[in-house]
This record gives sequence, structure tokens and C-alpha cells, in this order.
Amino acid sequence: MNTAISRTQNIKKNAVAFGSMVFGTVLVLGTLILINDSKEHMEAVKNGQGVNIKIQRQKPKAKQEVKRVKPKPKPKRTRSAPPAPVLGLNSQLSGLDLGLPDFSMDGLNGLDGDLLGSAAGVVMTDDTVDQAVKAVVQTPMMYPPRARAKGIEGYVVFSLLIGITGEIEQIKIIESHPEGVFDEVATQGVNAWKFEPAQYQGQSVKSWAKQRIRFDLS
Amino acid sequence: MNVFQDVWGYLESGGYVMPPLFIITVVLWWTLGYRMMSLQRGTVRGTRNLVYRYMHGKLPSKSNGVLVRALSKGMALRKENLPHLRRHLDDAFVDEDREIRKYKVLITTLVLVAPLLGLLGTVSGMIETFDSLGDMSLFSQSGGIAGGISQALITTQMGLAVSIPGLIVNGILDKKQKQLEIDLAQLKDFLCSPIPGLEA
Repeated sequence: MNTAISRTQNIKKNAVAFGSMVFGTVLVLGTLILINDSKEHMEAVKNGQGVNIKIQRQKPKAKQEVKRVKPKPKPKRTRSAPPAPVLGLNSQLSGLDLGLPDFSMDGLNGLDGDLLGSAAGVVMTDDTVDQAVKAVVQTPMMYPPRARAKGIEGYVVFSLLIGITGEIEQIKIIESHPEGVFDEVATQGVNAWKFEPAQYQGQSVKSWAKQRIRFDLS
Repeated sequence: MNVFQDVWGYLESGGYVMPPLFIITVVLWWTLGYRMMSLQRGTVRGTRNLVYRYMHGKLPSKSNGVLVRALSKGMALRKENLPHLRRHLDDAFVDEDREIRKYKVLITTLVLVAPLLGLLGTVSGMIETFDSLGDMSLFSQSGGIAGGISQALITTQMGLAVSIPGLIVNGILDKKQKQLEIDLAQLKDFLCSPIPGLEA
């Protein structure tokens, strides 16, 4: 019973699928033909059903002739011949003292080697130098008594510009936590530190360095 | 006959991708029709309503939709008072599950492949165009520039014309399938729980 039902059902299914196949194919091909049916358009054009547009050219009106008075030709300038070059100028100038210092090309010779390689006067950062700034002497700092009393811990991050000789040229506080508590103490403390300058291609260079100072109560 | 000639002309001018495209059309619409038939619910009513109607013997016996078939199978299993009814139901519903999922992947593939084939035809048409440009054979036997361009355009058009309706119908069918899956799951839940009025 059950199989019989499913068999008729299968037949029905396949029949519908076949119908759908025919329908779909006709649909697709019909669409294709409908879209591309240019023959009718062509015939419509041939039969003159299209709109004809005639373009009439208007004859250009006769130009009114305007007589222009010819301007008088400008009197030609007669160019006087350039003066003949003075012979022997070289010899005359050589005797003059212009009061200018001697100019020699010697100084330019060394230019190619040093122009990019020399790092004198260039301020670099930790990332660009070969060897970063090192703190050589780190003197201990006083813990601010008020902060100690309250049990506050924190840190200060500095950006230090270290010169060629290792001296501190600028101090900037980048970050401090908690704000303003340790700034003064830390700045004074860092000022007393000593640094070794950064190295770039074997030479000391000026560079910015980051220094983080932590204040811990342990 | 004129229509057939037109169709034949298009199929010829499209080059070698046209026969596959035609086959894809035929197969695609056959499977769509099959799927349309196999996704019939058999009733417009919801699951709960269906069970009550079954209890009162009001179900249309001739209806052969997925839900009605599943319900009659499930009820038969339920009457046997089997332990682990859900497993038996899962087993019994596998056929329905498979039936409603049949040809789904095939349809998706065909719908996706058709525009790609059209694209392939376009490319080969353009190649022909440029070849004849290079040879300076503008009106050769194979079609020359005009033939190449017409091939390029016709194939794209055919690919899209095959794909777009298929995509739409496929979307509708997919939604139907999802709904049916939900309904089947619901039916299982319903059959596994005590139904008021049936056992009493």
C-alpha cells in the first residue's frame, strides 16, 4: 500500500519535474529571444515606421564684408650690430683684485661620503640608533613622604634628550601615574643621573630616550 | 519553425559554451520541479493543529505532503509505546529529511555555474575579436569582429538568463525547506510529549 502510494507519487513528481523542465527551458530561451529580437526593430525601420528626422541646413548668410584698414607697417627697427668682443679680456681681468677670498673645490670632495652617513647634529630616537642610551649612574631617589604615608605607588615616564657627551638637554614627562605626585621628585632624581650617549655607526649622537621610574613601597 | 530557427541561431552564435548552458537549463528546471513537488507540506495548517485533526480523523487521506506522511508515520510509532520514541522518530523521519534536501546542492551549483560559463563564453568571444583584429580579417568565415562580439554578449546573456530565474525559484524553495525542517522538528517534539486527549 505504502509503496504503491510512493510509486504513484514518484511518477507524479517526475511528471511535474518534466513539466517544469519544459517550462523553464521555454522561459529561458523565450527570454533570450525576446531580449535579442532585433529583427522587428530592423523591419520597423525598413518599413518607415520609425521617426524620420530631416535636417535642413540653413544656408549661411552672406558675410558682410568689412573692410579693414590695414595698419601701417611698423617701422622696422634697424638693429645695430653687436659690439665686437674685446679681445684679450681674460688677460685684462687677471690683473684685477676683486677682494674675494679664494674659492677652491677641495671642500666639496668629501661631500659624498659624509652627507648621509654623518650623524653630527642629528637628533635620533631609541629606534634609529644602533645602541640606545644607557643610564650609567642611577642615584636613588627620596620617596615623597606624603605619598609614603598614604601608601600611594606609581610611576613616571620621561622622555630625555641625551646629548653627545651624555648630558641631559631636555626632560619631558610623557606619562605619570598618579598625576603630579611623583613628578617633582622624579625630575630632580633623573637630573642627577648620568647617561652614556647613544651610538650610531660608531659615533655618539644626540638622541631621545625613554626612561620609566617606578615608585614602589616594597 | 521560425522560433526554432532563432533559437538555433543563438545557440550557434554563442559558440561552445551554449550546449552546456542549454543542458544546465534543462537539468536545472527539472530539478527545480522535482524539488517543488517534494517540498509540499500536504497541509496548510501548523503542527499542533495537524495532530488534533489527526486525532479526530479529519486529515485528508489523499494528501501526500511531507508533514502528513511524517505525522502518520510518527503516530504509528507512537501507538507501539516504544521506549526512546525520539530515536525511532529520528529514524523514521530520515527519509523525509533526505527527500526535502534532495538536489539542493545541485541546484545551487548549477545556478552559480551558469553565469561563469557565460563569462567564459564572453572571454572566448573577445579573444576571437582580438584575433581577427590582429589578422585584419574583419569579416572572416568564423565571424570576425562582429561574430566575436556577438558571441561575447550572447553567452553572458544566456548565462544570466539561466541563472536569474533559477536563483529566484531556488530562494523560494530554500525558504520552504527551512520551514519544513522546523515543522518536522516541532512534530517530533510534539509526538514525544504526552498529548492531552489522546492517551486518556
